[in-house]
Amino acid sequence: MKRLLVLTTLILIVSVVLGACSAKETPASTAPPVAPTEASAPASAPTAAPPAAATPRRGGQLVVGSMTFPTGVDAMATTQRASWMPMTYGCEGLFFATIDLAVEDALVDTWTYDPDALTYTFKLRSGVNFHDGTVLTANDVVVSLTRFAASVNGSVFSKLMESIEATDDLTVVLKLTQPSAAVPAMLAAPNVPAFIVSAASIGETPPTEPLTSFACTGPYQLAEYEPDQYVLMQRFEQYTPRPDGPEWYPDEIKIVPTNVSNVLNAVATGAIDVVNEFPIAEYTLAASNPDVQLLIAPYAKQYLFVLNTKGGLTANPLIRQAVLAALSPEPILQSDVPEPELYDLNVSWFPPGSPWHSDAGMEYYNHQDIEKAKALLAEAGYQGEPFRILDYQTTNTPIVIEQQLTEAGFNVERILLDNATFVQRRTQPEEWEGFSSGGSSYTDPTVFTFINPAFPGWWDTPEKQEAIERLTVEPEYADRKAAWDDLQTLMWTQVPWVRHGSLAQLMLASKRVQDLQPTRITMLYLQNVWLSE
Amino acid sequence: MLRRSLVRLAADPTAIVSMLLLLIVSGAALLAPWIAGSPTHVDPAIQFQPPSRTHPFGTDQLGRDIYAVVVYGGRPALGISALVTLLSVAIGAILGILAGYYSRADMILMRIVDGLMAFPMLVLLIGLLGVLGPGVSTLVLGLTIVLIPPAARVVRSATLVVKESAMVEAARSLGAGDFWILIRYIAPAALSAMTVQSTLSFASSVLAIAALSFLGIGLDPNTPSWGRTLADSQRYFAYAWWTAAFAGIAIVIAVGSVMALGDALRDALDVKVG
Repeated sequence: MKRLLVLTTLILIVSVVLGACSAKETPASTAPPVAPTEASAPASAPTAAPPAAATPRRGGQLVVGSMTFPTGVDAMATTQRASWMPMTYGCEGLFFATIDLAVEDALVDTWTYDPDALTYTFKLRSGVNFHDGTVLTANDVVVSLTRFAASVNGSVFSKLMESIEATDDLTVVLKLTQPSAAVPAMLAAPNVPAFIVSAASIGETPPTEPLTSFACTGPYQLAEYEPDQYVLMQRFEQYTPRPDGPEWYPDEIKIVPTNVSNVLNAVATGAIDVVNEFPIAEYTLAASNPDVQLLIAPYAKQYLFVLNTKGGLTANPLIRQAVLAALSPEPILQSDVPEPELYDLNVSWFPPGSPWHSDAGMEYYNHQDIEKAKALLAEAGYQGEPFRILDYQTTNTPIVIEQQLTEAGFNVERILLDNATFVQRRTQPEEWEGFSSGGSSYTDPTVFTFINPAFPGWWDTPEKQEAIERLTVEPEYADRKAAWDDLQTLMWTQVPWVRHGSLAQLMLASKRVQDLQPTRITMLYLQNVWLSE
Repeated sequence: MLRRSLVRLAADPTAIVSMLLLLIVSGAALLAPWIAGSPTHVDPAIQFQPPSRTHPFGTDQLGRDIYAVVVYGGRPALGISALVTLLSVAIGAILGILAGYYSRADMILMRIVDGLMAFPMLVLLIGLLGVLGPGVSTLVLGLTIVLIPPAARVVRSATLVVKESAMVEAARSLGAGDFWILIRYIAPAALSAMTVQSTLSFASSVLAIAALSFLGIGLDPNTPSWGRTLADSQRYFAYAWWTAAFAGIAIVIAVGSVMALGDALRDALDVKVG
């Protein structure tokens, strides 16, 4: 014990000396240099992975780590993107959203759009096999898209769909309620869960009842799903690829949960091969680790604070305006991002270079005014009721938001929840006022998750509907862009959420993963990816 | 005898140093509002500042002053531990005395104690918190329950020795009742053992609270705590050592000084414990 005391005293002395002698520098100056990022790069140019030197090798099990583990396997039944992963590798849509956010044909062979007749005609590829041994027919598409339209994710599409029918085995005719050139983008998986599942798999199951298994046309089929443990997808030997389509090299894809505390070690040791949405707070450690590959896609993710427009305090627009006045975006972004190069203060939901890039609403952005916030609270008749923030503890932003709102006079109650409880509770309008969320990148404004009126927050006003109508209906890009500008401005005047800015998306891969490309969207693109051992 | 013990204690450098360290740590926790800023104020613009004159222990990932976090973090650790120690030793002493004096009670009570002691402390605590739910009151209850058995055993041992002593036999032969004997002879004799055991219980409690906070259970995660600070610093320790070091040092000092004091007390009071 005496020795322990002496040792303790020594440790104390040494640490005080170390502290006194530490140079006054932040980790940024001692951290490895930031990999070159291109904040103004066009949407098609995230930082690429180094080219592979060897011939791609078929086989192996690719282990994908997911910070938010799928709570089910039915993508149509949830807005939680992590739960879209099994269908992302097991299913295909009529259209495909590429890694560059473009839209390409997938299960369609050819298609036509007649704006006068308000009709899309889709000719399907023939001989496409389902996992259950059947062959893709137009009826499967009709059943799948009808279910998609009825789901929360398909609400914008459902407003357009007058009817859908199979006119023969391989022809689907979609009649619209109004003209829209955006249908392919609305159906481009995996950016939207418009996956084509066999009619037999779906049966009569509505999207409110999640499927526990599915038969699709994708390169992998669902083998096992153990909640909170793993999802195992195995190669579908009878897969019918698109002509000139990508290669799928691994024999199996296994999705496992991971967490912030051990993800870097898990990838460095090879226990996990790939992690999409690698925590940006871990950037400094990952950049200096020789056992991993770090890929960066700038201007990929959006950070926002979603407000409840349907219930609670924030159903009052004045309260939402007060929130906007209370918040300062830069400290919020800094709380999660160690390097200033990895975040950007901007209003645009689309990166520079994208045809949808817009500065509309800039005049409302980043103008913190505590006195104005207090005045708005007084005007709203705020009496100190709890302002409830749901915090599912994967980001530091709620802590900073809590402080900023408190300084503005809000009585903040930050409610700590696990992910499953959070997903459930945010569907209850009387249970919260705000939660932090992250958005991805999108191919088209119409597939932008947050404008879905069914998304928790439930933003749905006549002005918004009018702007979306124009966005959906107008055939010319210039008119659609004007509608998008108006909609983006509405996001700042009606304040359904407060967008803080954009962040780079980081991906982490083990050394044996080859040809992985950084992506701006949530889904991991594993096309052409192979394992060197 | 008490005076002799106190003299021995005062002459022991280990006791002096440990009491001093304990005084510093607990004094800092008590005086936190006066000697430290806010432990919860965040300022991401100054995140990961190394120790400096402005922030003696540096800042963490949210720009919080780690000095304030460490000072305030001592409050739940030391406050709850003091309360738990008081309760567990008091209840443990009563149970130990009863078990040591009455053989039938011994059979029942010690089997319960053995059962509780078969579980690793943290496992038992996590189970109790899982059933009772998180919060300070359940943490106090859980820690008290797990710390009663060692106290009961120690006091039982002391009771068994004193029960057979001549003075107790003499008192009994003079017609003294059980209650009088327990209060007049047994309890005072067990006091020394209880005193030493209380330091061990205190140290165990501080460590358990830190461990539970590290795991994210027990205390409200928004409450500054040493364990929580250590848990948060895991990701950053490689390039911001100060985010973990000072909370760790605080735990070492608090636990080490109490254990050293316990050792010194045992020597001074000449107690056989455990």
